[in-house]
Amino acid sequence: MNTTQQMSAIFIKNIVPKLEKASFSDAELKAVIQILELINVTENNVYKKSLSNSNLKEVQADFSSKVSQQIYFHPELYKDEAAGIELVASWLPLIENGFYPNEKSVLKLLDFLYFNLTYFQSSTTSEVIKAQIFQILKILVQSKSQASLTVARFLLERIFDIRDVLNSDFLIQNCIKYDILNSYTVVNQDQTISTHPFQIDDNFILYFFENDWHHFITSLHQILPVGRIGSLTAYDLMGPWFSNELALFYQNNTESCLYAINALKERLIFTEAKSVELLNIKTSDNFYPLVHFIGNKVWDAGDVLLFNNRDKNIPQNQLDYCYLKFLDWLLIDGGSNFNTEAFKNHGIKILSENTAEALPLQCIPFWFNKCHPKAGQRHQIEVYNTLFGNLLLENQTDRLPTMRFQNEAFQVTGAFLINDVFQTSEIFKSWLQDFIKLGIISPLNQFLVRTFHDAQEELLNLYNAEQQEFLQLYLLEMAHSARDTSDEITKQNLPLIVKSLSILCFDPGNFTRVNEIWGLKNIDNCVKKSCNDFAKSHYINENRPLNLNIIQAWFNYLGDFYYSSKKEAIWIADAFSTQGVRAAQYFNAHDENVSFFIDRAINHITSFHKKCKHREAENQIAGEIAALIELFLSDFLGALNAENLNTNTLQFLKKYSQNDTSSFVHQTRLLPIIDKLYQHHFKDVLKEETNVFIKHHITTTVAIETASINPEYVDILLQNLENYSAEGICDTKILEVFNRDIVAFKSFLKQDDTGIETRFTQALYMTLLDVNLAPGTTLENYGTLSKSLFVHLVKGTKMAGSYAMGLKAMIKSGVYPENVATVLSQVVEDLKS
Amino acid sequence: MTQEITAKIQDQLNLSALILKKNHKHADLTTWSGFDLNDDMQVKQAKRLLKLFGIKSGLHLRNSLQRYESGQMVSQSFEKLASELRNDTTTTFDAKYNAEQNPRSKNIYKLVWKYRFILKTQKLIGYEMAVYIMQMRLGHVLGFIETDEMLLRLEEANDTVKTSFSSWGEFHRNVCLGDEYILGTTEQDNSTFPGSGTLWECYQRLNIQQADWFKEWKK
Repeated sequence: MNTTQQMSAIFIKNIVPKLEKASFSDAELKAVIQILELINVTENNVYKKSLSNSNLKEVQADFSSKVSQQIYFHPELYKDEAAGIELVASWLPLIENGFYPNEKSVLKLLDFLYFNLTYFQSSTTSEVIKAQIFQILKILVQSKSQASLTVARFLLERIFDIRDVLNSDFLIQNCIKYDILNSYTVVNQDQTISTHPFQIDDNFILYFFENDWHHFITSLHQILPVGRIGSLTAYDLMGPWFSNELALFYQNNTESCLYAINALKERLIFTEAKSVELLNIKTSDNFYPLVHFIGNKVWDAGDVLLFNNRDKNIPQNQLDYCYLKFLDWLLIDGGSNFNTEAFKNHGIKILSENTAEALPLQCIPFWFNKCHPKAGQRHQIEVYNTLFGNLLLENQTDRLPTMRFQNEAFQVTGAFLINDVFQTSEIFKSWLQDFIKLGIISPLNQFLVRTFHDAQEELLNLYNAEQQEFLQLYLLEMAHSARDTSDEITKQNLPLIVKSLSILCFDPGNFTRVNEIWGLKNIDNCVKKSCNDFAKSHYINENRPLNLNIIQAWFNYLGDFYYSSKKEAIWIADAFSTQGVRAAQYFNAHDENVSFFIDRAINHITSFHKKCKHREAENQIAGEIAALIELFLSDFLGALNAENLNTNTLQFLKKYSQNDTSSFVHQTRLLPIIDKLYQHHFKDVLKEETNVFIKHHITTTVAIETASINPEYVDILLQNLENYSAEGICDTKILEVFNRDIVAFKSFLKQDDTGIETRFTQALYMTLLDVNLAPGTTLENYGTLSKSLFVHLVKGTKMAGSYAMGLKAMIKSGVYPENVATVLSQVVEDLKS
Repeated sequence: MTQEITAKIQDQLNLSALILKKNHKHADLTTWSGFDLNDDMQVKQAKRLLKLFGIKSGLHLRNSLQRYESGQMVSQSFEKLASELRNDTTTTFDAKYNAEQNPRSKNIYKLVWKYRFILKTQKLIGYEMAVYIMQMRLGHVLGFIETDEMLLRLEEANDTVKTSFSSWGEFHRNVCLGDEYILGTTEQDNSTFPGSGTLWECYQRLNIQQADWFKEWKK
């Protein structure tokens, strides 16, 4: 049975008889005719009579309240719920065509519906009827008539009446299904009509909640958690209605926020729905009252769930407090909230689906606290390290992140972290010690490395010497632990470590440390250059004074440079090509005797030069190193004062430079330098030795009477004997001393193994042959004493015979004057006896 | 680039065979390093040994090599004591020996006394060069040193050893003495150093397994 047939039946049976009795004006009659035509009920007297009324053609149809009442107002039919429902349903064609019931009829209808909702929603009522009735309600609500507000009020009242959940739910479902509550019309007192969309604003409160916001809010909070899982609820119905005004109300009524949050949590629990729209409700000023409220209360698991559903567009400064409360929540009760479902399923996303820029700086101490190698719990450490590692280390290259601090974006700096966050200056060593064994693979250490790197030169002010020392050890450990980690971590952190170390290890002198840092280059190629540069800055730094250790180091590392074919100790190339003159100047200015050091150094260098020359033909690099050494020697020797070289060195150099196979033969610059030094020196040697003698002579004669045999006097005497003829000074007194203490002198010579005895006898032998010392000359005394000493020394030795033979030959030769010959004969006799 | 090991290079590497075998029982002496670079356990062992020597990088390695090469590690202290003892008579030595309390020092005194003249020129350079070569091989495991450089250094180490000694026997005796001088005479405790044999064990085994290597003293 379709609507029209149904309608016809009810009309014919119940309404037409009444119409026949009623009297209408022409205009009203015309409206009745239209209605009858609409429902196709023309086989009756009313219709027929009206058709014959010729006046009707002229008039406008008037659907007056009288007609309306005749058509719609039939309370007696509502006695039977089935009949009543059917009657209402039959109105649809009329209402669709704008014939709305008058207020009285509407009220009756709503009364009827109110009492029969249960029946209405039961399966007894067909779906068609239900659809028709809701269609009618929809048209009424949206009609520009008084019915609109009345019906809408009725619906909202029933919906908010959670004492009758079933009916409320039934209406909610259908209101949504038929989109009934879209807009409503109010007929004002001056009969003007205004249409309002369904929005929670002052009008809404005025018309539906007697202008009482609190009443509405309370109702809203009560109905929020009501509903079945997976089905639509009042929240879904009202979702589109949430407005800035509602937000404003919350903003001004903080207490309501608390109830709202609680309602949302309950709704979350009972219907497993997120309520995103209400939670993220905002005022026209872009203020989110509910999210703001969460930031000001102590959190429980529900807040975590809600906060995880926050809108992505909420301004950061309204979220800051929420994050802090979240961290607090994770900290309380010994961090046991970590184990809750709320954290595992929701809270974790607050961190994982986020960026450092949004999170508060307080995350850093939180992280270090939670993941501390001693205090942290193992399963938590893994999770937090992954979370914060991603947040604070990823995509930051070598910089520290920008985070939120005191409600503003804040670029985290190393100095700030050290001073204000870690605040470990008192217990720095023990604090850092704990992290060492974790190695660089731990995100904590990566973050620390970044922190120290970021602080740069500040480190020198932030930590005292002892702490800096420990920091260096820590960084070295981190660098070495990079061997056991991924390539990515190594490449990211090692350069930072080396840079920090080169800042910390700035003061000269600690070469063990310098080498340790330099040695880090073996860990990965990415720091090879910086390590080498670092070493160079210590080994060749023209801004710092040179010292012997550094120069020694150049020569030592020449070995590495050579053996590795220039791959190791690469700064040697610079040292040898640029530092020759500087080294020479250093030695020139040096007070002490450095000739021994230089002798060793030159020996060392030339030994490598020799090796290079040896391999030159087959290995080009060896040739290059040889050239480098030659360059250095040219610079060095060219600028060096000749006094700094001793005889051995010069003889060695001279000999080496003349050597054919591995020499400086083609060194047009070096060779003249060596020659010049050589000549200069060997002219000087005589002079210098004489000077020494004179000095000694003058200073020692005073005490000579009481002197005994000692190495110093032996030396003076020997010098005198060897040089008297050139200098013209004959030290008779010291000769007397030696003649007197001949036994002591002999035992001294016995102990000596440097060949002084031979030199002595040789020098004395020469005095015997000196005509200037012969008897009768002014130096006779010196000659006599020498002769006597010679006899004492030679007599009884195996040399005595050969000396005697020599002297005899001299006498026989006839070269010597008689007085000398006499003395010589006397000596021969003395040696024999 | 790893170079092929020729007979000549093998002969040079063999100077460290004894000391390497002692420290790494499963050493494959026919390879550059003696360690299987694909076996994590062996690499770990190499790392451990390097750590014992205080070698953390190529730089440390080369510094250490220089110390061994120059005799700073063993020969200098040996010679210092030896030159002192060369002036002693049996009586004065006994007095010194008895006055020494520490058993290790006592052993060192005894050893140096015995060899104070015999090793006057060689000192313990044989032992030092053996360790020198072994350290290079260890360093090669971690890439601290390339074979090119090893080759160069090996040649010179070989020269030093071959001119100081006249036979494998004499050289190996020097290695054993050096080892004893450094570690003491006591037999090594196998529970403390599992997997490592005594030097004497290694010596015997080596001469059985690689008999041909140690016959001819090629200069």
